[in-house]
Amino acid sequence: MEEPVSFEKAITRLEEIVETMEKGDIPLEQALELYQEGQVLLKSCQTKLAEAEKKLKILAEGSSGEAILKDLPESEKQPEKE
Amino acid sequence: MPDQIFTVTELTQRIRSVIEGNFPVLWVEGEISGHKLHSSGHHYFTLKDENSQLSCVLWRGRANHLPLIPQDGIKVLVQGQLTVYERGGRYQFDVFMIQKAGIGELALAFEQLKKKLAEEGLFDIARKRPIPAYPERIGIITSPTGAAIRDIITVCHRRWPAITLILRPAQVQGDGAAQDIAKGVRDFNRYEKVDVLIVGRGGGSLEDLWAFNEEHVVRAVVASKIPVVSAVGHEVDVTLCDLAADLRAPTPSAAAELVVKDAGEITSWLDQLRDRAFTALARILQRNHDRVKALSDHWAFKRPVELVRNQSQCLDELEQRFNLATSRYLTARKDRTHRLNTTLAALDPTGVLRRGYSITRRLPEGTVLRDSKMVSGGDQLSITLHRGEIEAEVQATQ
Repeated sequence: MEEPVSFEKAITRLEEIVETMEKGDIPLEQALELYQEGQVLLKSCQTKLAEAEKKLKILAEGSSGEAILKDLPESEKQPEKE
Repeated sequence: MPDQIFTVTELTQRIRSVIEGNFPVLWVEGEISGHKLHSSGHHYFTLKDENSQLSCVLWRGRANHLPLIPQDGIKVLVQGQLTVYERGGRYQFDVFMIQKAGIGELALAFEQLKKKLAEEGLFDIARKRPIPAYPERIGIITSPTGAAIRDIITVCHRRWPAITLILRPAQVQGDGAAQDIAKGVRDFNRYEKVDVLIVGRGGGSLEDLWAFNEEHVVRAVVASKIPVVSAVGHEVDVTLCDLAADLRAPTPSAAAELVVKDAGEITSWLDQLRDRAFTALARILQRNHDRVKALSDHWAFKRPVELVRNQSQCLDELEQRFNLATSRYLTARKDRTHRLNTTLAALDPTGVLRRGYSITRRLPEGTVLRDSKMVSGGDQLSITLHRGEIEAEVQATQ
C-alpha cells in the first residue's frame, strides 16, 4: 500500500517546482508537466489544510509490549467531534 | 581563694581551642539578616532560624569567589568553621561558601551531570536534528492532566485543526518520573509514526522540574531518532532536557507555536505559490509563442513569392547593369577608334599631298629626298603629287 505523500514533502516539492518554472529555461513540455504536477500537489496540500477534524490519540502499550494508538477515553473526549 | 585564676584572654583562648577542636568544617542552613558590607570588603551578617542566631563573617578574599552575594532575607546553606572572636568575646562562623538553601545539593548534582554529559558531546549543536517544517503528527510526552497538554492541544488546533496529536501520558514529577519520560521517548521511537516530539510540563519549582534534569531523560532524548522539542516550565533556568533537545521552547504553548505552522499563513503561502506557478507558466508559454511567431514572421517562411520576385528583380537589375556596362564599353571603344582614325588621317601623307605638297624620290632606288645635296645634275627623279606622278631630271642643285 502506498503511503500518501506527506504535507511537508508535497509543499517542499511544490516550492521546488515553482522555482524551476520561474527560472524559465525549461522546455514547454516540461513546464506543462511541472505545472500539472504542481496543481495536484497544491490540491492535496489545500485539502489537508482544510480538514477540520481534531485528532487526539493516546500512545499505549499493546498486549505484547508494542506501541499502539488508542482513542481517548470517552470521558475525556472533546465535545466537538465529527 | 580559688585554685586558679584565668585572665580573660586565657579563658577566651581555652574556649577557642575547645570550640575549634570540636567543630570541624560544617554546613549550616539559615536565613540571612542584619547583613553589612564593611568598607574593608568583609561581609558581616547573622544566620538565623525560628529560635536561634549565629554571627557570621565572610572575609573579602572569599566573598569575591562566591556565586552568591549575601542578602537579607534569603535562605542559604553556608559552609565554614566555627571560631571565636577573642576581642569581642564571642563565637562566630567563618564563612567559606554560600549557596541558596534547598537547591544546594541539587544544583551541585546538576552542575556535575551537566559537565559530564557535555563532555560526552550530548549537548553539541552539531548533533541537533532539524525540526520538520510541516509536521502532521506530533507526539507529546507529558502529564495527561496537567496544564501543558491542554495548552498544546489548544494552540495546535487553533493553528492547524487537521494536525494529529498523540499523547504518551507520563509522570512528570516525583519518583520514577524521569524513567517514565525516558520510556515515553523510546515508545514513540518504536511507534515511529510521528514527525516530532514535544517533551515537557508546565512551570514549577526547581524540584518539580527535576525529572527533566536527570540522565535517563537526557539520554533518551539524545538517542531519539525523532526530533525532540523540550518545553519545560516557565523557569529561567535551563534544564538538561532543554540542552539535549533539538529545539528548546520556554513553555509548552511556545513549543506548540514553534512546531505547528499557522494554517492561515500556509494557505496564503500556497496561494502565492499557485500564483507564481501560473505567472511562470504564462511567461514560458508567451516566450514559446514569441519564438514561433518570430520564426513564422521570417520573410523566408512568410513570403516565398516575394523571394522569387526579389530574385528576379535582382536578375533584372543585373541585366540592366550588364547592358549598360557593355554599351559603355562599346562606346568607349568606338570613341577611341574614331580618335585613332583622325590621328591616322592626319599622319597619312596623301592628306598632305592633297594640300599641295609632293614627295620626291630619287630613281631608280626610290629614296625620298629631304635635301638638295642628295642629288646632282642628271639624276632621274619621281615626283608624287596628290594625283599622278611626274618623272623629271635634275638640272641643277642649290
